[in-house]
Amino acid sequence: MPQLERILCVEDEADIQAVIQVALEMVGGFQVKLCATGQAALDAVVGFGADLILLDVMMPGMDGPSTLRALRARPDTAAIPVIFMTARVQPAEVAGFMALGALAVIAKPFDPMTLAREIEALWQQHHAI
Amino acid sequence: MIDSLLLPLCFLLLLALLAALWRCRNLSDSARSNRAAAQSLKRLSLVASRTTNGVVITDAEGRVEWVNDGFTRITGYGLEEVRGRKPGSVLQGAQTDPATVARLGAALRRAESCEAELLNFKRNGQPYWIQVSVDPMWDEQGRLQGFMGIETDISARKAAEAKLGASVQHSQAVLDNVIDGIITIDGRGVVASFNRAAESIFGYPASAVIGRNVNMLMPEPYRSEHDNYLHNYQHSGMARVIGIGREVTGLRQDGGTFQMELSVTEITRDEQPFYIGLVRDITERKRLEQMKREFIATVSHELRTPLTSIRGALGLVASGTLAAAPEQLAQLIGIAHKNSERLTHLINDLLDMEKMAAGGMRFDMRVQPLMPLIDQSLEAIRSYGEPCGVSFHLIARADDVAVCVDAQRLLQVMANLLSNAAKFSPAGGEVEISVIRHDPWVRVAVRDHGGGIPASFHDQIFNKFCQADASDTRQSGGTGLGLAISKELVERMQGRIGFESREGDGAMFHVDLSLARAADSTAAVMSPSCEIVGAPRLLVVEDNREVSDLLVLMLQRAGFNADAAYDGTTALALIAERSYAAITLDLLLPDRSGVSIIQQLRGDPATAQLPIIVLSAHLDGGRLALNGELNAIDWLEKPIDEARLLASVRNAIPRTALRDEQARVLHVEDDVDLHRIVAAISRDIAQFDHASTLAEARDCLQRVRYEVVMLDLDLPDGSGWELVPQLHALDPAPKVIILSASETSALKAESVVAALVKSRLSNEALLATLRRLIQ
Repeated sequence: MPQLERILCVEDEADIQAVIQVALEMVGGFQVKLCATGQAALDAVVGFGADLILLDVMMPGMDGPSTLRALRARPDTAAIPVIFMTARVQPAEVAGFMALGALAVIAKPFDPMTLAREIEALWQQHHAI
Repeated sequence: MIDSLLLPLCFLLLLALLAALWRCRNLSDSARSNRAAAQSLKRLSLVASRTTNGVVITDAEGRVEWVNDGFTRITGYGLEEVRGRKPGSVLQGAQTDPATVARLGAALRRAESCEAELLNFKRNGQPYWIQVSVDPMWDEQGRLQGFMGIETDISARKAAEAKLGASVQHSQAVLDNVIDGIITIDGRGVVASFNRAAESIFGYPASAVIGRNVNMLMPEPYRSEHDNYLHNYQHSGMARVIGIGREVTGLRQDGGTFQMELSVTEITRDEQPFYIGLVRDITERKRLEQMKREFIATVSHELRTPLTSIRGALGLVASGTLAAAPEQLAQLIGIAHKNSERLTHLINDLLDMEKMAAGGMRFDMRVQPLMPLIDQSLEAIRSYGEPCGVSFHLIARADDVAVCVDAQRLLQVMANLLSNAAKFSPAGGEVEISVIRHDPWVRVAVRDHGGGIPASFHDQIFNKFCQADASDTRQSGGTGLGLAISKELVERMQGRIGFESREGDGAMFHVDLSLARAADSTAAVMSPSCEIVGAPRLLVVEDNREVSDLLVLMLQRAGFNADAAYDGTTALALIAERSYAAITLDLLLPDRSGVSIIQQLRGDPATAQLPIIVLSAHLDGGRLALNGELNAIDWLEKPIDEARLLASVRNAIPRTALRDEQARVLHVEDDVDLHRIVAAISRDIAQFDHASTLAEARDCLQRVRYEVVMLDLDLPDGSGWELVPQLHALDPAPKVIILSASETSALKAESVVAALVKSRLSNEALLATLRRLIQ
């Protein structure tokens, strides 16, 4: 089972970026790269060598789902697992995100102390299949 | 009821026989045949006299020769009264249908049989309906002997028909005016009725639907299913729609489908099943539900976003993870704090919007100079804008301008406009503010040189949570509600808000406020609040300060200008100085009675026409309770119109008094003859006591409880008005009818209105009365 080391976080709110960074780096021990837009993420993902992408849904410009579709359209990024993070958690919406091929949907507000653990568990599930 | 067709026929036969015998009365060969004939005659006469039908026998000219008892019972006329006359001339009246009469006449002239339904009149003038059949009678030589008419009283049947007709009309009116569509179908699904609402919901006239299968109103697949459904239901009795109610799709004439709520009940008519369907178009309701769902989803998203930062930051801090990283610790605490503020603002804004929508926001509107408020808002924003290097410049002032606003709310609006301008300005940018007077408005404008508002957002800019470029405003902590709230606030303060912007060229937001004249400070009794230019001015005469303030406030909110006077002398002085559209008057004032004020006002031609509303108000749990301590005063002008008097007295007497015993009325009137006339007119409905002076009246009032007091204003020892406070003090207070004397007859009752309002008058009713008076 490959190790989860590098996580690319796409989130437009600076405050939430700061929180995620601490939660994943300090608590989880991961390497984290932060991007504020979908486009920035597409540009940076390969260079950074992301193992997993944490993707916000509501962003200006390219929103989360559009970014996911773009990732899936490229052979070099299509296989990278994506986890959505969003405050839009009506059941219908969640089903929609899953249907796009996301690994999971994490609801905001999230618990910073368990975020890293949750993501690790999802990673292991994904590779166990 | 024994009068069926059969019976008249039998009588025809019998009476033909009778007629024959009548003719034979002079023929007799033998005593035996005489006796037999006499016996038959006697029996037939008995029958003829007993029958309830009326029988008339006339000669060939149509003049009555004989009528039976039945005729007399029906019409009230005996034989002697009608013998030799034509029945029509006796029985018919103005309302008898002339066409029918003509038809009867024509038949008689042609010596033909005839049947008709006719409106006749009894001897006592009472109308009644008959069905009459008239037949000619011939002798053996074939000559016309006369006519026989048999009448059946069908008044009862006619009355029942009319009642049924009225009832059908009523039911039809109900059906026509109901908002929901009502469709009835038979057991095969064929539409039997289709009301007006259904016509407008589906877009078909009833004629296009009745007789066709109801599934024409359904799109597929429901259309094909419906027949099956009906069939299954009728055989299994299992209902899926009947009595349950469902949301289904309907098909309109134009091909469009829509959501409807359907409920169906079953009835049995002539042993056949019929189904009544109630249809309600719920398109609008669904739309609102959808909007609500979207709004809730949006709001919950907006609330969760700052919460994410707060929970995340504080969770990390609390875990001790950052114990060794003081810089990051400080950063996260800062994040938590900032977002708490943001959340607070958001929730406050949401609550503000809700409060305004529910009408719960109180505005403390006062006339005040505008510039100090603008200066204050500039000071506040400068500390905010400084960090980004954004500078604010006031390029035009209007120091002589006063507006009627709630200072707090205006500052809130200015803060919103200025902070938006700062947010959207480039670093180091400038924001210009101008205050310019354009009579009768003053315009406050805020101009920035940022990116401007794209045309696609122009329509939505004042909508909730519309953010043209979400990232910008989110970064700077905007709630998405600022402009929506500002618009609402400005409009509540009777102002207008708008903007001009082109993409790339910044934006200019402007607020227009109505100019106000500063309140006249010389009249110490006037409330310090606004003057609305052009609105009617009222004077509130009330000595209780709290009540007065509330009344004034209520009137101002309703769009009037209102002054207050706390005693009679001041009231009269103010009325002399200024022109009022109407006054409200408390009868109990500290320095003189309200009644004396009314007298003085009425006595002066300048104020004789001033509408006065006599109003008594007190505080009930902090709110204004308007009470009529006197019940409605009615005005009757002399000379007295009898009908009007009766109506007034009847209205004034409580129903219970009318039922149980005769109501007692005190008539205070010094003209004895007039009293006699009035008493005579009203003798059927009340018992009248008479007093010819105020003193006598007071005496009577102490001894007897009256339901109604009729007051003449001109009495030898004073004016009827003086009695009013005493009447007011009685419990229960009698109703008052004022008979206005000649000097006031010039005034129309409406324009004078000392309208004493009935108990528990609502504010709306008072305002409505005021508006009516002032028109």
